[in-house]
Amino acid sequence: MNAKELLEGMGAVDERFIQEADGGEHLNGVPDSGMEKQSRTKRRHWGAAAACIALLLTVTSTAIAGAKNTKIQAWLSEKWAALTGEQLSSVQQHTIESLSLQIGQSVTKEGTTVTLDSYLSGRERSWILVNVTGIPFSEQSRYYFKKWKIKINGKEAGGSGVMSEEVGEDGALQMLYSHGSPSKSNLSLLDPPDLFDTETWEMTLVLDGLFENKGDEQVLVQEGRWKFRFTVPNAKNAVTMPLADTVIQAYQGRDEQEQDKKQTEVALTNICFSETGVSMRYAGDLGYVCKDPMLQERILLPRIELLLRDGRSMEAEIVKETILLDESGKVSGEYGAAWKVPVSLEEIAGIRLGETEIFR
Amino acid sequence: MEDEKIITLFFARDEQAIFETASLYGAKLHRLAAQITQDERDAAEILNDTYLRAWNTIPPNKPEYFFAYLAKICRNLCFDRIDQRKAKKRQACLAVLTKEMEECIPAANKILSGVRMQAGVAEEVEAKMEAEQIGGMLNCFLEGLPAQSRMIFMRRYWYADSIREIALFYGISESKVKTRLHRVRKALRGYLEREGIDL
Repeated sequence: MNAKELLEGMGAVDERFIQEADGGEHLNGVPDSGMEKQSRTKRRHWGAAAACIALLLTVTSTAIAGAKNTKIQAWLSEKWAALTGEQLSSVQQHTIESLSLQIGQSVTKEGTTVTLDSYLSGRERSWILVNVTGIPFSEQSRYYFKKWKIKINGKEAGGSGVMSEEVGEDGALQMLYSHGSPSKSNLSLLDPPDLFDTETWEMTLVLDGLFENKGDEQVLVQEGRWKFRFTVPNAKNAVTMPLADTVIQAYQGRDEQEQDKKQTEVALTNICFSETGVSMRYAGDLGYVCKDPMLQERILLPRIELLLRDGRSMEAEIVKETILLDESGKVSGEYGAAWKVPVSLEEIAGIRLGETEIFR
Repeated sequence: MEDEKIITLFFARDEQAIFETASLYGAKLHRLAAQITQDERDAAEILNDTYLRAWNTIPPNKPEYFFAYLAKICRNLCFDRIDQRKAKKRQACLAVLTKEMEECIPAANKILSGVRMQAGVAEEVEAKMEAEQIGGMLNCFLEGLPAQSRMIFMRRYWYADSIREIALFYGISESKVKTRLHRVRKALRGYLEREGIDL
């Protein structure tokens, strides 16, 4: 047998592996204890404040207006404290409140109730908090849904899966998910081009098969499908602030790890930031087009950081990258990066891209 | 429309099944075909052939995983197309993947393979392990892998995604993808050695 035969033999592997690797599955929710230590954050302590907030929750089936004191705010507050060592400012707290929605929908399957607790709608990234009750959960184990899928107006959106999870003092399992905003690249030729331009988005969240990761073994805790439908404001309509077009030093190469990547100047346009992230466009000239996408050089933007008015900075996480390449070698693309926790527009001083700082 | 409903349309011989399939999975299948063949025109033709083959095989088949069923047809058609054309330029993508897969082949097998090719002792086709046999062996290997590694491995060698695309798809760094792939290739090589693959 040679490598080519092995590669061709891949065509005969079981369909469940093919399906598993298809979209909608996200690595953060999938165990990998045998190969590498998981890097996912697991919160060990559910603060007393969050427990108090839980008592104040009101249940609504669909929400459009901002909601106060959702559990999702408590999670983000804790994350901010872990990142900065400080509490949220009152203005930032207000920002998070205004973006949060209390959903409170529950679906029960064979005694296991999954509650879609709350949702935080952001232009670059959104967060979803679900709550699972009805079966005993161990604080020593980790839990995940075999499959989770989020659809916006019927179309699957990008996502990053489970960000954190914990078993609360009340014995309920809490899981915080996040997903990216959809873009035109999510659309097929058969989709209407304005599919995501509606005033509100009809969301569908599907969770399949709850598993327990005991380290050595993965145990199906509860089989079933929990499906939720809810409505949120169109996150693309969020308020944004523009930044001036600028030219930065970036790299040209196949990937970040490449040793001989070349430094190049890239013009950035349409830079604008919101309470949840920043987006921008760029254009460049690669000089040639290679038909093999693995050999094609790209413009590699440097690290993106959020600059706050109080002098602190925080790395943003790339959540969207769309690259267009025409036949003459001109490349253009769109980048989206999300803040780790939403921030008030008032607190944002600008962004840093590599060595270049752009202030508002 | 959900998979089950589309399959019902296939069983009812309703041509709407093709439209619904294209609507739901057309973009993903086209991307897969374009990724492997590196040719937009081939990809478009393969997409149509995929729908036709699905139409001709459902029924009697009733796929449990509908997308995987279609993707498998699509991928096999891509390899058939590449074999037909035998144009080296068109196989640049496969050449890269094949080179990486070399790491998985135990040394003894590489030598045997080389000797056979040089000496022309047997036709290439005789030296090939049946695809189904290889698939069965890979199924056993994949079954034993942790889910994360299996998914990354499949994205690279089944879907022919680039490292960067995998990193973006799963929201992890490119170096993590590379490390994971390297480990899996090494594990696969060990597995093949342990299994004593007989040529």
